[in-house]
Amino acid sequence: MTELSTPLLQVRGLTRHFPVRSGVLLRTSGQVHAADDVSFDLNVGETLGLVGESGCGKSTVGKTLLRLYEPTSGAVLFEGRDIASMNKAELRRMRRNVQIILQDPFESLNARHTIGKILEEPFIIHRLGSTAERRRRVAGLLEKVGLEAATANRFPHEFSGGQRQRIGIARAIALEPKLIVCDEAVSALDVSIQSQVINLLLELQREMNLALLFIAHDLAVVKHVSDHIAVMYLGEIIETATATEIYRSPRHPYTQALLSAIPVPDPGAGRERIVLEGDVPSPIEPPGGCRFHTRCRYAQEDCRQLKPALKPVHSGASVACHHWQSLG
Amino acid sequence: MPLLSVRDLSTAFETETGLVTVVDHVSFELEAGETIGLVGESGCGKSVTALSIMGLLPRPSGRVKGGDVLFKDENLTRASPERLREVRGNRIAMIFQEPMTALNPVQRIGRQLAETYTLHEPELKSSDVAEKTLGLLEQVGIPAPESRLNDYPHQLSGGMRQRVMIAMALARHPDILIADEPTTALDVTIQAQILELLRELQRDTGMAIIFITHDLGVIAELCSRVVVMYAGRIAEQATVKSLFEHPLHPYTRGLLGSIPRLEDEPKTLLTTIPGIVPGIEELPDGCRFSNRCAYATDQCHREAPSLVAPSPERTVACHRWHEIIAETTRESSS
Repeated sequence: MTELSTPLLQVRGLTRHFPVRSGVLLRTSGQVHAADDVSFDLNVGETLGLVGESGCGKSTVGKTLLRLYEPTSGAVLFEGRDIASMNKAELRRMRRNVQIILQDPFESLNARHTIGKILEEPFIIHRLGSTAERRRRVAGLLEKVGLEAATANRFPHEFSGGQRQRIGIARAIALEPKLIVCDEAVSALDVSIQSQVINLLLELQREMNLALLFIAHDLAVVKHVSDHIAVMYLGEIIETATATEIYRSPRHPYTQALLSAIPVPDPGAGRERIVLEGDVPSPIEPPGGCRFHTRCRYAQEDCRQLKPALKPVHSGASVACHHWQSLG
Repeated sequence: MPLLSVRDLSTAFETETGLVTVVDHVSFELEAGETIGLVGESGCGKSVTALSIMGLLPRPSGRVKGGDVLFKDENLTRASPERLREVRGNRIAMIFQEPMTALNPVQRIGRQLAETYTLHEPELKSSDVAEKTLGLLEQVGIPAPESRLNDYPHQLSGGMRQRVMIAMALARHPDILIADEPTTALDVTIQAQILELLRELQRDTGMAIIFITHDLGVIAELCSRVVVMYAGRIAEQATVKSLFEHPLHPYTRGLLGSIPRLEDEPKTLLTTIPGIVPGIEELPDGCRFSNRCAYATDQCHREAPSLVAPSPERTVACHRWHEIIAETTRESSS
């Protein structure tokens, strides 16, 4: 039995490296540090936004949670139980409770199956209900995500991107999971469709008391759907806070730059723009010390030498920067 | 006189089911040195408009069905292929979302840039070409440009590739740069660099920019005027300031309401536009937005609204713009 106070998901020091192989013998010549020492908690019914630019490791974290990748080190506890020590049956039960929605639902929907068959599959795999009951539940799911029950007879290619994402969501909620990992789930959608899908996720969360791990590169979108936000840079979490706090008082220089880089649909806004120099360094040989120091306008000698730990600022926020207190 | 004037441009594609019009009577003007934005969602015709101006429509399926593209008094829709190539090389340049489509993957960066000079100015000495090429890379902010000349495109990051493509576009000092979603595939901090670069280059060279994007935030930051397109037609055009402060077309209003904004309270529901953009072969009669519009009346379902000018600097294609103006005036005064 888990106690009420135990977070639904606890991630502790999660690290995932990918070997880089080169040469004729494909010897391992280095490691891509995709995720390094990532830790966070996610409570029942809450949303944690994981935000960062391409290659920061946010998707790797999401996939390692589902054990689609094995972690190099660290632990993932779902309802207090380490998923690494789960046997097949336990893992199957865990996966019923943890679902994923990907950026391009088309790639994850079998083109030869009708929508009805696709949505029925989770029930078949987990041996739930009679044929008639499964059909009824599929119709219910379609209605829940705003599609007509008659669409069950159609094929994925007959739907627009937004509708396919609704189907992806219907499949994810089919078994009434406790947690859904949304990996860039709304990133490919047009604005008017994106807002519909965001609203659908917010409504379903409220109705089903779902926890969401919302992974995306768009901070404005992440901020809109999240209770808490973790900002990642080159495989590491560099700041966490509530969504409102991240926006009102970002502490890490990278978070500040990320916020100021977002184009705001208000021509009168007149904000100060922090333009970061250069590109994100390679995750194969990340810079020593603070990984952000090569692009940080405040970097000092100690930033090049010493890696700053992610330290709590108060109970709901933390930052990994030697000098955040003097940045103002 | 405007530098570029697009008048009643209509472009159609030959498909299995017949001729399909994807750009329908689009008109706008571009003054020297200004930046205008063409904004709309996938399939609204913004990219095809640009390709029509450039004479780069895919052949043989696409063609300009009607209208004129006047560049300094010359009608480009009637120009010979040779003349168009000359204009494209020298006067109007274009950059794309994915630089790899424009860069040759098996040729070194330096050689590709040098080609723009050797083709157009064969009399130049090779040492001059080398110097100019280096100058271009410096101009677009590529660090240590000498060491980059021998790189192949795949050795550069997405942001650097976009800079190289901009360098190629600038080589002949064009009057107009058409930028088709040039920052859409880039990370937000790299996007900020490229937008900054375009602003600087425009200040230095005085070129005009047509910026095509789906991102109203980018429009607000970069452009002075904006053309909103929906399903192949212009819904509304205005200065950026008046469009964002008082959007008149219900589609523009819906689009602006749909954007998650940083200052919003987290986890509140967004305003949405119901339904989806209709496919080009299933467009509703009358106003093309009528099947998703909260303001639609019988007239909207019957007759397509023409573009009218509520004030000298803006046009809108909506039967009910009077009432919407009255409504927004009430909103802003209360």
